[in-house]
Amino acid sequence: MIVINRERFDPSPLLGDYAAGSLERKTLELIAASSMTYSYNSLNQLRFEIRMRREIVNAAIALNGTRFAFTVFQSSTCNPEYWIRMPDGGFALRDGVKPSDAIRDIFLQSRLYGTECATAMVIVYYKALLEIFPEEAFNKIFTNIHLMNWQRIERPLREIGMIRRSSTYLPGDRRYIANPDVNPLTPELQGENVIDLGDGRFYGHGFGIHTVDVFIAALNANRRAGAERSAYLMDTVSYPNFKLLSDLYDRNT
Amino acid sequence: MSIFGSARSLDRVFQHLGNDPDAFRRWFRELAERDAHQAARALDGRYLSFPVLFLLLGEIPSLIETGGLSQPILTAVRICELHRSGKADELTAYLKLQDSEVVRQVAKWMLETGHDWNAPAEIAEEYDAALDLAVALLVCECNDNTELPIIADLIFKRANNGKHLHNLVWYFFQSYNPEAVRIIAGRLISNDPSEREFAKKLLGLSGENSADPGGPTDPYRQYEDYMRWLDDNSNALYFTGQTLQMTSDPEPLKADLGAKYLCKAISPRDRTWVEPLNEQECNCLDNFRKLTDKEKEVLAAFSSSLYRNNRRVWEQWIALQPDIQIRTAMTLLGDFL
Repeated sequence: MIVINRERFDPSPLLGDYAAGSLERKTLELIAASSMTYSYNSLNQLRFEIRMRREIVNAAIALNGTRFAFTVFQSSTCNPEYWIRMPDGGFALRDGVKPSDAIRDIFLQSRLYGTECATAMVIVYYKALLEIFPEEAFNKIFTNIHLMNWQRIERPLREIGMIRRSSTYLPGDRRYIANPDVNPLTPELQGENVIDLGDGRFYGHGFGIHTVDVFIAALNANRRAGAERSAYLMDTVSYPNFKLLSDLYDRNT
Repeated sequence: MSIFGSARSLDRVFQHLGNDPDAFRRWFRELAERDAHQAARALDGRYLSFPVLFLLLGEIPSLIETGGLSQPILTAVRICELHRSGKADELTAYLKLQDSEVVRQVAKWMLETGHDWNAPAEIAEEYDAALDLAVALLVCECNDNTELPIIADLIFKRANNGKHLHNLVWYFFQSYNPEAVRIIAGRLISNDPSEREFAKKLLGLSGENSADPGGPTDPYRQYEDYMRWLDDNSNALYFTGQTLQMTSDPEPLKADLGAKYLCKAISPRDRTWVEPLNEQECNCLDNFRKLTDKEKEVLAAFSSSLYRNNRRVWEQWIALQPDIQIRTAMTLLGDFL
C-alpha cells in the first residue's frame, strides 16, 4: 500500500508513466501490492525511489561488467590518484579530488581496484546517485566518501547499513546471503551482500549475476568440515533513505 | 656469553638491530649459512616468540633438512606459508592431517607471544592477518576459548588504530560463548571514551535497531543494565550471526523469548533446545507464539522472574491454561500488558 501525505495513494495514473514490463513499473506494482505501508511526503519522493532503484540495478550490472576484482580487505587495491587506501582496507576520497571523478574512475579503470563484496555495494549506491544528481550537486553533497562497508558511511547514506525484516522485496534492495557454517579459513565467504536485480537474479561482487541458488551452492562449497547448516538468503533488506535523498535532490537541483 | 643463552634471545637480536626486519633477516641468513644447525637451534628455543618466526618465515625452509626443527615450529611455518599464499583449500587439507592438539598449541603460542607486538608498517597487515589466522584456528577449529580476553584486547587495539578488525570480531563471536560478550561488556566502563563507544557498537547497544537505542548515558548504569540483562536471560541467549559485514549495527546476542518463557535452555550456537520439549511445553509454546510481541516480552519476563523467585509457584503457574497465565501475570504486573 502506498500512502502520500497521510492519504492512501492510487498508483493507477502513475503506472502509465512507466513502460509495461519495465523495472520501474514492476517496482511500483510491488510497492502498491505490498501488505506493508510505503509512506511518502510527496509524489516526488515516490518517483525518486522508483528511479533510484532502477539506477541501483543499472549500477550493479555495470560494476559486474568491469574488471573490478574480488580481494580481501587486507589486500584491497585502489587508484591512488583518487583514493587513499586506509589501514582497515577501505578507500577514502583523496583531498582535492572531485567525488564524481573518483567514483567514475572505479568503472573506467576498474583493473586498479579490488576489494570485498560490501565495498562493491557502497560503490553501487554512489554510482546510482551519480546518474541521478547533477554532477555539481553530487560533488557538493557527497564530500566525505569512505568506501569499505557499513561502518563509515556519510550521513545521507547512513541507512544503507541498516537491516530490516521485510515481506516485500524490491529491485535494488540489498539482501544478504548468510553462510553460518563457513570454513573459518575463508571468512570473506561468511556471507555475500547482493543487489536484487528484480528479475529473480542478484549481483554479488566476486560471484557475478546469478539466481540465489548459485550463490548458495558457491557458499556451501566453502563450509567447514562437518557443516550442518546451509547458506541461505536472509529475510532482511537494506536500502537508502530514499525520502532524504529525494529531498536533497529537490533542494540542490 | 652466547646470544642464544637467555630468554627471547632472537627477540633481543632483532631489537639490537634497531627492529629492522631486513637487517634481522640478513643477520639470520648469514648465521644459517655459517651454521645451519645453530640457526635451527635458535629457532627451537622454548622462548621463541611468534613475531620472530614471522619475520624469518622466508629463511626457515632451508633449515628443514637439518632435522633440528620441532614439529610445532614446522607446523607453524607451514600454516603461515599456506595462509600467506592464499591457498585456503591446501591449508584446510593440511590441517586435516595434523594432530589437532599440536595445531591448538601452535595457534595459542602464536597469539600469546604475538598479540602485543607492533609490527613495522610495511608488514603490519600481513602480520595482522597471521594473528587472525591464529584466532580462527584456536576459536573456530579447536573450540578453545581460553584466549578470549587477549583476542578482545587485540580487537580494541586495532579499533584504536583504525585497522581491519572485522574478521577478528567475527571469530570472537564464533566462540558462541556468552562469556565473550561479558568480556566486551567490561569495556563499557573503560576510562577511554572511544573504547566505551566501540564496546557499545560491538554489543549492539548503539544502533537504532538496538533494544534500547536511547539507553542510559551513564557508563556504569549501562554496564550494570547490560550485565543484568545477560543474567536475566542466561538460558535464553543465542548468537544471531549478525556481523559488521552485514550491517552497520550488528546485534551479536539476543534472547529467545520462548526459551525465557519456558525457562528452558537453548544452545547459544544455533538456538535449538538443549533438551527436547515435552508435550505440555510444546503446547505452552504454541500458545505463546500467538501473542503479540509486547505480550511475549512481558510474559517471558514474568515467567523467568517467577521461576527464579519461587519454583513451586512457577510450576503451578506454567501448568495453567495460557489465558489464565496471562490473566495472572496481568493481575500481578498491573498495566504492563
